[in-house]
Amino acid sequence: MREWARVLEALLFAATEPLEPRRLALLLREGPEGGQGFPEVKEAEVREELAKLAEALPARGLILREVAGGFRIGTAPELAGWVAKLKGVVRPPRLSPPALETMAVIAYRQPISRAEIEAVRGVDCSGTLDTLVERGVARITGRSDAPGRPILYGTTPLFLEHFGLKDLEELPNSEELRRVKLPLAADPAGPKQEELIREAGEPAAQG
Amino acid sequence: MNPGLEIPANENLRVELSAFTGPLDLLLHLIKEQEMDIYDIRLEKLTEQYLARLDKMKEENLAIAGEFLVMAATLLYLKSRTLLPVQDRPPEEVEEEDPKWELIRQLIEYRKFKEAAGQLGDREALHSKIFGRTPERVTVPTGMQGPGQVSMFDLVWAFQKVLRGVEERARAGRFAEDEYTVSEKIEFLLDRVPAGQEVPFEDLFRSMSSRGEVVVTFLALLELIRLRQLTARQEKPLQPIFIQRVAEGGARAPIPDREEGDGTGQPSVETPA
Repeated sequence: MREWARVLEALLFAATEPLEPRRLALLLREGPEGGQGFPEVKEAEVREELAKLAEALPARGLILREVAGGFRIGTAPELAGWVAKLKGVVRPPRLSPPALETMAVIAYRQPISRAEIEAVRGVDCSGTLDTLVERGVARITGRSDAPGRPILYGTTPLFLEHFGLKDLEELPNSEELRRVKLPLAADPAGPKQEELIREAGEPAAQG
Repeated sequence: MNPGLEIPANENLRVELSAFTGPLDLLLHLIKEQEMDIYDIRLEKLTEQYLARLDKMKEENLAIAGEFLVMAATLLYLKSRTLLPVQDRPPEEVEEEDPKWELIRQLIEYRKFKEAAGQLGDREALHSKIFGRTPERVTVPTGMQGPGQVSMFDLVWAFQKVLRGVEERARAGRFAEDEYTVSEKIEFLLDRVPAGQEVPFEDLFRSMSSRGEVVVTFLALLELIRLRQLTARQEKPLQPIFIQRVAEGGARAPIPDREEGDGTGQPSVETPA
């Protein structure tokens, strides 16, 4: 066991957000305020220790998750009832089936406009979109160049955390679903508009 | 199974329409229930079943979302079309692909995302059982912060309101487009917000009637916030924002005077023409 492994565990325990291995390595190299760090620590070594920690933690009622680009300590899922009682916390309500559908369309096809989401789901999505943005799992990412310059939606880092995803690549069947061609938006559409919609629906840089 | 319009108060029909997320969801359910192949749907039977569901809902006085009715119309159209012999179809439709395929495509498409939504739901169920150090964070929407703090978004929102006011005033009378600089407005703001006092955000712009002047003043305000000379405070989201001086002790940067501002390359933006 490397001597800095304890530091690593303390950092992860105290953190309130996922910590990237790169950042952990940097913290370890820099050392505490006015103290001596571990100047030789490499990111790969941090990953090794993280893997060991992930194996060791469940025996203690904790788990190490890789979410939203970093690592985070949490309580073991099977102990949720105990922890919830201690905290008196009512977990944030889970998303409704319509909201989950809208979420899925956004996740795979972002950036995407409301009209495009509605073309897939066949129903009005304004209410579910508001819910997702309020919950912080979706956000407005900009405007499309398509006619009317509609607002485009995408996912947030909180989305990854909420669904326990490392990154967007970890979405199930992401290859297949991203390539799916969208049905036409609601209004009567010629081939030209179809082109525009497809362009607007191209997944942009993931992040 | 004995499908058809004759079904009495069948348990199946008890499934509320609200249990479906939309007409496509209902159609998929019916296709599965009727053990149809999605690529080879029997339109007549499907339409019949679909309308039966809607009728049932009406009987129970449940509100039916408009989309369900639109789909009913689409199904009826598609069904009626199958009754026409090919040679009797309107000429413009003869060469076109059967519009039924548009619906099938949409169903297949939708089914994929419905499945993906189901998988997301499973993940959510698991991960909502894991408590991190500050799970409360999960419920805080982005852009909102603790009481008293003001995000950039809030400031911009307040600024847009001010700008609208200016445009109205500008329309009311003529004004000369003077040139303003950020450093000038920095001085103005530091005068306007004396130590120990709070000034409502909108009051800072009260005397101004030109868009350019308001924009430059806003830039100056952002600069002063960045330099920790001023700070913005708000009781609750969407309530008035107050600007105040940062207590002398807490200030890290010296108050920039105009020379220093220009000398160090601080923005001294000219009013946009």
